[in-house]
Amino acid sequence: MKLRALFLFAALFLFAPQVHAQSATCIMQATPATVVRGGSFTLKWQANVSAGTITGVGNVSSTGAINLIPVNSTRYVGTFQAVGGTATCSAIVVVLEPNGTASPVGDAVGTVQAPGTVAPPAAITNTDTMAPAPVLPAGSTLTPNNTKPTGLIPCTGLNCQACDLAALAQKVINFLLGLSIPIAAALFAWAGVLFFSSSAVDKLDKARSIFTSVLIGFGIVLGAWLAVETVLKTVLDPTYYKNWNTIECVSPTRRPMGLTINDLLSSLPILNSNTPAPPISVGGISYNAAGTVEAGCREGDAKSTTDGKCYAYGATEGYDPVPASQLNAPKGDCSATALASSWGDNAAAMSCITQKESGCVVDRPSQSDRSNIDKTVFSSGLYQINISANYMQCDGFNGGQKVDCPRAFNGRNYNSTIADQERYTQCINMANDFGCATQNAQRIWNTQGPRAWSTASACGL
Amino acid sequence: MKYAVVIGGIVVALAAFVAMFVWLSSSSAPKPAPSDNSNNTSIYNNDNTSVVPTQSPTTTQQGQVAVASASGGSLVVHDFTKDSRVVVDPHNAGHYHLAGGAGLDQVDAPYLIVYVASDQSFTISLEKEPLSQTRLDAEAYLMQMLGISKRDMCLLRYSVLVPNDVSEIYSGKNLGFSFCPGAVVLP
Repeated sequence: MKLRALFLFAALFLFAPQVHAQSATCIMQATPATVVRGGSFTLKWQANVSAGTITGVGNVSSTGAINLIPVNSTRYVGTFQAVGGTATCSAIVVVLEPNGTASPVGDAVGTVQAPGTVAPPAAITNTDTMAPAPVLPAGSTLTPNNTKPTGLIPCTGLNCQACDLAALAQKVINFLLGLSIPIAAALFAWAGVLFFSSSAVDKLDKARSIFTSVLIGFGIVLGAWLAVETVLKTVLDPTYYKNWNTIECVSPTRRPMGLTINDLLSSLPILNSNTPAPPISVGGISYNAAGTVEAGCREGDAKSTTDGKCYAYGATEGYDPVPASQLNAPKGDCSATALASSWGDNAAAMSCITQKESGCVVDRPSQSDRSNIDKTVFSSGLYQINISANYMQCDGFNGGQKVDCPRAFNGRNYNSTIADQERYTQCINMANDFGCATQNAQRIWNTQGPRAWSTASACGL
Repeated sequence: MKYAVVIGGIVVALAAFVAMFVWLSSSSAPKPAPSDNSNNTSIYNNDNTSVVPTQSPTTTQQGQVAVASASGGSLVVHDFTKDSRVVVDPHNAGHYHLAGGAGLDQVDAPYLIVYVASDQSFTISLEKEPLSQTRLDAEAYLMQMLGISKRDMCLLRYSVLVPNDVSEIYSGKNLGFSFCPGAVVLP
């Protein structure tokens, strides 16, 4: 009995999950990326390790956000370490002066400052520093700061909130889970001592009883944790699910503190007129408001209303935006790049035709070319080739031999029904294959001309 | 005997859970980060070139990929290639059908969304009137699948098109997403 219990206990730990060494990855974002001096922004980060550090903020958990008011344009760098390596990521926030000029970007230093302290130049300042330090009762040892407590109690008094009650309960559960291990081990040891030290029947029975009870109890403790973990890990999206036994409360200081009444009113549906923010002027050049998506400019850059160029905030040199004709140019299988090698000088014409024929979807079944009898599709693919009226032949299908697709039908076009399902399927697959369809479309173009497609006239052909 | 049965049952259940846990941990192990991740200065890699990339989405971290943006650089989106709703085109390499299925399965779909890896672009074909509503539905679907904001949607390389047999008036034009600059306003 004692050997059985020991064997079972050992087996439990042998099957314990292996820890996989993993590389660290992280991602960081400042929103908005540009603020006027005195304004706030939110620094968000996400990493796949449990903790790291961010310059100007300090030690952080794997995922979080913090509301900050930068003194100057600042670059924040996050460093996250795992067994498999270290990852760094960064984000930049640009501070604009009242006259519109951007302050130069400096690296964030230090950690979030406690209330009442003076922030060094180019350091970030937590919103807490904007409020005067509260008056504490005499003899109190609590000080308002943003240091995260590491004990059972998740807050330090003045920054406690309702969420911390739930976090406290979770910490107690985790503590008891951990405590159950040495307790189980101690009880097993005591049972073993009883078993070995006496030959009296009642003592042996007591030892067995202890073994059984502890095994069942410990099994229930572990089983409960594993059951919840397994179910949640199976059901929840791994993108969002980390673990369920840690509750992280959002600090009250992360609530937006830098908004004005106007910001609130403009967010209300009735009062929000959706008018774009007025242009701002930087260095004598008028820009559209920060955050506006500028067609042709890189993300976060603004378009000057003076010279039409794109500018990164604070940059003195602009660049030409990507022309609208290029932005609106067909992409994917209708693009000039995709068609040029096959169609040469006719690539532009065929790009126009394919956009109209199939919406550039390489295997699109026709909406209109369907049998009136049973709705069988008889045109398909990028070029909407009518397989009830055209044979198909290309490399890679049927050994390069011609496939008599009209023989797949009884009748033709709108009066057709499927006569040979296998041939029909093969012909549809050929029409939906970009390479095969292109070869056959070229043959049709060469024998019948572009007017084989009804949309050719709309493309000027 | 009774106790042995109870203990045996508990141990078997525990072993099963542990085995499942090990299997889940192994199958969800994060992908290795690309070597240039440590040089990122922001979420969006703003390089100074507008060369069209010709490779599949770049894996950044678990559950995310980077796709090209219209004006150069890249955007980080959810790894849609792992989404169960996405169908890999069986005949055309590097084509992912995000909505509508593939081949003849697309017959009655209101909109079709295809990702073409060769130029990292998204093609949205509106297949049902009213086009304004169909476009809204397609936008919402794509935004949810990619997990990005409207602002980021406008930065994608994409085309919103209408085939001629759906609407002759709007066929052949890139209508754009309704909330993006330069989009065609639909009735």
